[in-house]
Amino acid sequence: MSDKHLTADELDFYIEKELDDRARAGIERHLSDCAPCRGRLARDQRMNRALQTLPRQDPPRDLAARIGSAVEGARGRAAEGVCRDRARPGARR
Amino acid sequence: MPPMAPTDEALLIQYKAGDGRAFRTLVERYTAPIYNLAFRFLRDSMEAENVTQETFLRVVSALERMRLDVPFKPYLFQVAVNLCRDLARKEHPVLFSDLNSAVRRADGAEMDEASEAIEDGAAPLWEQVQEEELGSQLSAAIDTLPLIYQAVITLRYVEEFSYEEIAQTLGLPLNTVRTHLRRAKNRLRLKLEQEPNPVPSQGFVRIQTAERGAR
Repeated sequence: MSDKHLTADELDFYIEKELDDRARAGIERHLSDCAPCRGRLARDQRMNRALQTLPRQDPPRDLAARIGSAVEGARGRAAEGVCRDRARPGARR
Repeated sequence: MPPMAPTDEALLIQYKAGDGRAFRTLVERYTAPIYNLAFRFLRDSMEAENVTQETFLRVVSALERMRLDVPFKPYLFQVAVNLCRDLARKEHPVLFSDLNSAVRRADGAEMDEASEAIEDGAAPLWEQVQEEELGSQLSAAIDTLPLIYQAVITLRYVEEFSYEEIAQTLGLPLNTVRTHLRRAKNRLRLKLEQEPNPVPSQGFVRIQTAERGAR
């Protein structure tokens, strides 16, 4: 086992699965022998799990429907604009 | 087995082929995530609603000239982030600088508050609290972070973006995204250790309202 403890970055790379197989195996070897680093790993994993389940701010229930209607309205107006342009005297047909 | 939901890109192709309902499906899919992100930045439900609606209106009007091989989700969120940024710039230019830049000390070096110390004593208080309480402490701690860190944390853990998607959304190099995420988490850990009940920073809009009221 290495005398040095794992750095915060090494633990993070490990949790985020950012390591190749060799580096991962090295970290796991250290962890198997080092209780303080295992404790830090457990702490960081707990924070990651808590981040993944953060409370969300939900929108009003009808927001998606209102936006859908606004988008269709804008689309309709754009289409009417095209028709008007086409009907305008001198406009290319 | 239920049929697989169509991908964003398939819905865009349908929409461009004249099926108006296809875009409505995208609106239903992404209204809540966009609103959640906008609310995190703006801390104001009305502003968050406006940004969410404006995001879809901008995207739908850009669709005519948009390439269909560009991943839709990062593009959509990029529009939302830019709208929040524009609003922030208008409402509070000093705080807006936060969203664009990494946190730097006066000497120009980036702050790195990595906690490398190995604690031998008792576990910090936050490690002993229940999951639900930890969630609310963490949420309050995130509110105190610089906006760029709030953005990467929200995109990564709430919206489950890949690092590549975050980089596309925020217009940052991939390694910068990695660094921001690590530093954001280090800061959160430090905050939880030092201050179990942090006071959240004020949102842009709320600050402006308070300033207006003071005049």
